[in-house]
Amino acid sequence: IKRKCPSPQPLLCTSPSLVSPIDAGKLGEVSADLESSQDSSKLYIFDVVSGATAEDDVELIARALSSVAANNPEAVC
Amino acid sequence: CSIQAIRRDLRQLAAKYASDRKDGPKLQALSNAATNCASFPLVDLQKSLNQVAVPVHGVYVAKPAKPNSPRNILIKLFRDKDPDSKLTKQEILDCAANHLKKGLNEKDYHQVWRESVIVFKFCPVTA
Repeated sequence: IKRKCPSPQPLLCTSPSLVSPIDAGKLGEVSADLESSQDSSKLYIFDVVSGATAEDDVELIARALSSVAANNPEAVC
Repeated sequence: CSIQAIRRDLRQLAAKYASDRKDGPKLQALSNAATNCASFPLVDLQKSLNQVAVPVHGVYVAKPAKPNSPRNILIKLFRDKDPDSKLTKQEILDCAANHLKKGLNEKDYHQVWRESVIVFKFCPVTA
């Protein structure tokens, strides 16, 4: 009887050099409505639970920081 | 380095906001904010970044909006591991079971997996 071997568990690498990047643009874009948000610092923060697609996190961080700085200048140096 | 990349993106964002004519005053304010942030001294920019991102082994990771987000699992695991180490699926599921009320289902796990690859598109924190 031929026995099927279980496939090994997938691994995640914590080192950037060991990971092949996915083109974030292919994953779609996150759009945000400045008018509807009560907390601007959350406008551009990604959350996988919400099911939002990802975009380049560097840009995500830049957008979030800009929003915080625009709405609460004292919060940033 | 990460700071350079973030500065670059802030400048590009400022230009993008400035070129948008639909909602002038609001986007102009965002453009000005982005420009100002891009010119912060290194220490000040790092302090400001702490509000929206977490440094993890040389890369910045955007903070999730929800405290029970699976992204927090990745952040915790990556911080607890050495920079060049690897994580198994079981480690992720165990950590999620301990820190999230409902753990991770297969769908959430695959999103975490995919996100981990995206996360490592970040530039290092230091030059």
